[in-house]
Amino acid sequence: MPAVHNWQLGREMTYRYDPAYPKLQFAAVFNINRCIACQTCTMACKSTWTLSEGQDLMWWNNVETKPFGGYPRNWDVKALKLLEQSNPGKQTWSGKPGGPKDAPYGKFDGKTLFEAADGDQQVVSGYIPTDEEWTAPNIYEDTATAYPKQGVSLPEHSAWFFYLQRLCNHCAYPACVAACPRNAVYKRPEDGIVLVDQERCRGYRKCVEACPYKKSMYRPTTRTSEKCIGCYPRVEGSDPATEGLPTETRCMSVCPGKIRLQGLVQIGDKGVWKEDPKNPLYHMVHIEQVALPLYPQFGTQPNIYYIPPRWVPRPYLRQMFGPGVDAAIERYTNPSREMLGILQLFRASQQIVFSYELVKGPKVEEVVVDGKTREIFNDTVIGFDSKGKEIVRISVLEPFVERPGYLNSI
Amino acid sequence: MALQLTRPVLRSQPRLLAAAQFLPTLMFATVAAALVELTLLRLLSRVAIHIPDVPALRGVYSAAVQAGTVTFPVAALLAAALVTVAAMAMLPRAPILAIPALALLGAQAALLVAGESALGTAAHQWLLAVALLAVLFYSTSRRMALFVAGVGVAQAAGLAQAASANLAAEGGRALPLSVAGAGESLLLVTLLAAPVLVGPRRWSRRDVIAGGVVALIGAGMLFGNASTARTLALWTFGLGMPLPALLYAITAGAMAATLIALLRTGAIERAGALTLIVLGGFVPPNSYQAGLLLAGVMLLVLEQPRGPATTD
Amino acid sequence: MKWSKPAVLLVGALVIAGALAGLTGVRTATSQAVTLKAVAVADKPELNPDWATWVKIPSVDVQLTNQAVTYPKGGGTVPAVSLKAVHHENTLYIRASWKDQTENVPSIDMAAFTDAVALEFPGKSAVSVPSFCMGQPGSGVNIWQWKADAQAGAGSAALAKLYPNGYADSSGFPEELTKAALYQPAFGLGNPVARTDAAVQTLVAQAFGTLSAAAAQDATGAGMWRNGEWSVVFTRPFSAADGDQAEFAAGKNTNLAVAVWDGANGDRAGQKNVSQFVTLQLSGELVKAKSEDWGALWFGAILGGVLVVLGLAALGWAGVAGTAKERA
Repeated sequence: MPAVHNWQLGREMTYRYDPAYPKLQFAAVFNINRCIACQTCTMACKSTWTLSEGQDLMWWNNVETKPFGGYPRNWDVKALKLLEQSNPGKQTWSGKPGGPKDAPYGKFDGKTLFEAADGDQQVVSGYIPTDEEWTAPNIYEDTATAYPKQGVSLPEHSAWFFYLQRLCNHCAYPACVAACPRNAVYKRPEDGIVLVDQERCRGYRKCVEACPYKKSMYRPTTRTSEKCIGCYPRVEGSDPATEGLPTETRCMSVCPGKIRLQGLVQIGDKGVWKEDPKNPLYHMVHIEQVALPLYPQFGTQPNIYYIPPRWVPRPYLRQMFGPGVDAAIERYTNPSREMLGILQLFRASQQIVFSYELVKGPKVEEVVVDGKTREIFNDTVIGFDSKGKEIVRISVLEPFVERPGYLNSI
Repeated sequence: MALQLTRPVLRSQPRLLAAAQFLPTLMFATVAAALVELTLLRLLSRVAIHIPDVPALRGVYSAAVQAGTVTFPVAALLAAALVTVAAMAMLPRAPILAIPALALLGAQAALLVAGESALGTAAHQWLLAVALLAVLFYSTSRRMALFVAGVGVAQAAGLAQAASANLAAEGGRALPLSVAGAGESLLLVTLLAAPVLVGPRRWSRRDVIAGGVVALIGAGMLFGNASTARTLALWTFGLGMPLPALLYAITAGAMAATLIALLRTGAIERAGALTLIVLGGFVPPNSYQAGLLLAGVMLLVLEQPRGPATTD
Repeated sequence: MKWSKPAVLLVGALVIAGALAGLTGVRTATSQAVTLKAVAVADKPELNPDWATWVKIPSVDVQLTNQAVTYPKGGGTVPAVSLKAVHHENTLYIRASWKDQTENVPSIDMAAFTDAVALEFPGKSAVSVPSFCMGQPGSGVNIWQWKADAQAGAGSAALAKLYPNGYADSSGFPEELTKAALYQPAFGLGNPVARTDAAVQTLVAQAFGTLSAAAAQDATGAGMWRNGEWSVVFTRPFSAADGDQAEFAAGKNTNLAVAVWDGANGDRAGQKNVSQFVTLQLSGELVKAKSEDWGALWFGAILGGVLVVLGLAALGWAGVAGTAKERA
């Protein structure tokens, strides 16, 4: 089997195909700390793409309550179990986070799902969830771990839950692409979006079985598998509503909590992101390393990155996001001026921001967080589109407007 | 145990065996027909994917495959006759071997008449296993006995597994495939040792070089186009290949070197017998290949000094 | 090597007999080179595995193996399939039956797989006998696949049956719009997998992973599960509406391979039980279906006779030799 470089694991790994990277890659950063689980994203997706008969149990975007929730039920526990069974006690990392961008989190010494598979019946270790597992997308909503008598306090709450927002990761090494025996699943060279060709799919469900994130789903009325299409008409700007400009997906652009920022990043040699410090996603993922991939140990090199929730016990987060968790929370809790600026870009525009610029402003406040004093500057961040045209300008402090008094009409 | 029981079948009583006069000619004809069949049908017809899409070439190819289809029944009849004659020749002195061999032929006839059934196929496989093991009693030398034992036990293991799988269709329980895997491994080791066990005393450098070339070609096929080479190994010789591919290539080389060395030193009959064993494959998939295998093993122990049966 | 005259004569006789057997299709070995004979029948067959005449048609058992050549490997739970074939007025009918203790006809279950069977023939334009492993470039194969779930009309109807009070509100879109191609892309693109009105898909392939829908979906079929056994009948006119498919003619032979999927074993794709090509012989003459294969019987009798003669001869030789020894 060909060897490919997985930068999230800091090492070579086996994959069914020789490496072939897209020019641009669909990617996003989700700030878990801000999510209120209103499911607006979920419904925006549902009412756009999966409203028809046979798609009843199909939620391409979902928000689940961790640690107990999951759609389909226990998807991550089951995938982790498959890995642990194939390589007991050895799913560990070595080295240190904070490394170069081809190995930023150190080196993963365990097995990926590709490496754990037998190669005969599966090229990716996986399973097919049952109907029951798909039927309760928001099971255990807001269910926390047991509340201790002494109460909870930061930095780690002992009673906790958090919301995990999920959609297809449009992985660099998609499990679904590797698993399809008839090349009906493919990754687009222009934006890295992964699609199932509905003309070729024969409903074998090898992709459903293989995808560890369980974002390939079977539609029993057409007997084919379908999956998140990354709202490609919006991303490529062919949807009339986009007026020809690359636009963020439905689930991203509707987010009231402003937790999501989506973009397209440039891919260079060995699938590592090209140096692009002015791209807000590049800055968060590679310079600040504040946003981390979901279960990098699966080996698919997923492209949705998460700013981890800062109140959650670290061992759980390290299992979910890898060894970079502690540094990411530290940087999010004490954001740099660049980082604070970029955070303002979340949901400031529906158009995809390709680069940003920070215009420095005056110091406006001093706050004490975790016993440390921090300075806040009222910097202004400007976002540009693919052609370098300004599409958004926003400052850290919201403009304070005093409304003239008027009589209440009630 | 087998070694203690070894005794020559023919040397003591050559004149008993009038049927033996048929053997050299029949063996030659069977080996020739089986080689043609192997080349045209079992190998060529399965690699059409590698034949270039040139009309003339395709025409030649189709004609060759057609010829192979006609050669198949010829080779099958010759193999059956060869087993019959060998069994007849052995009947007086080696009934433990001759009787299961004749019973096997009877089973083949019955299967041809009544059509295949799980039970019938299983019976055929058991009879073949019994006959192959019976050969053990008649080996002429210690080395030969080792070789025959290796082939017999290996094939018997595979056949027992296959027979159990057939009986499973009738409600029985199939032996695990690992039994067949163990059998195949033993067969490979035995064939690998062929140069020592059944090869000639004196070797020339050319034999070794020829064996090396065959091993290299085998390795090239197995590593260059693994899926086709493995399919051919499986469908043609019944090899599931549980062991490393390189070992199979080396074994092919060892067998080729042995055959060439035997032919060079004039041991044509032994070379023919070994060829038949190879052509029979591991756990023969049909009565014809079963005949080739059994005939090969029988002829190996029937080997006799030059000019037999005509002293009076 | 010593040549004896009787031996050369025996070899010559065997070569002639073998060649005759080869040309007339008489079997000389069991298991391999199986021939399935399609006899012409006077009555029009029904598209029904229970059609009365099938009982009188001889069957051929074809051994199946697990598919172990390419990913995804699998199968191994169905050891054999039994085949029968007839033809009538330039239409071929083939009946396949195999033992399967569980009837797997999933309707909308996402983790369950259907029982299925497929017949594979060399394509009409194949310049040589294709590889039975999905054909090869230049020599494609034509595949007819019958699926239990497709026959049961799985899909919308099954959904309505399973959830009789279920209601899809179409999210404010007109209902006819949500049923249209745009919202059922596989159906809208003509993917035969999505069809709910046909149990058999007509497919073509020229290598692993190239299986596609044939231009004309003209093979049909019907299957039935009873007492631990599936029986499925396929039919198609000798000539197909498009050129990639198999072509049949009375008096001519072609090849046929079978694949069986056991839904209970999770079979789908390459996870299946496969046979090699067997010969499919379409008899030219119109005959009444017969219950025995006289050709094989005839050949078996001759072989038995030869055995008896050879046995007697050997005993005679032994006797002569014994006398000679006594004399000596």
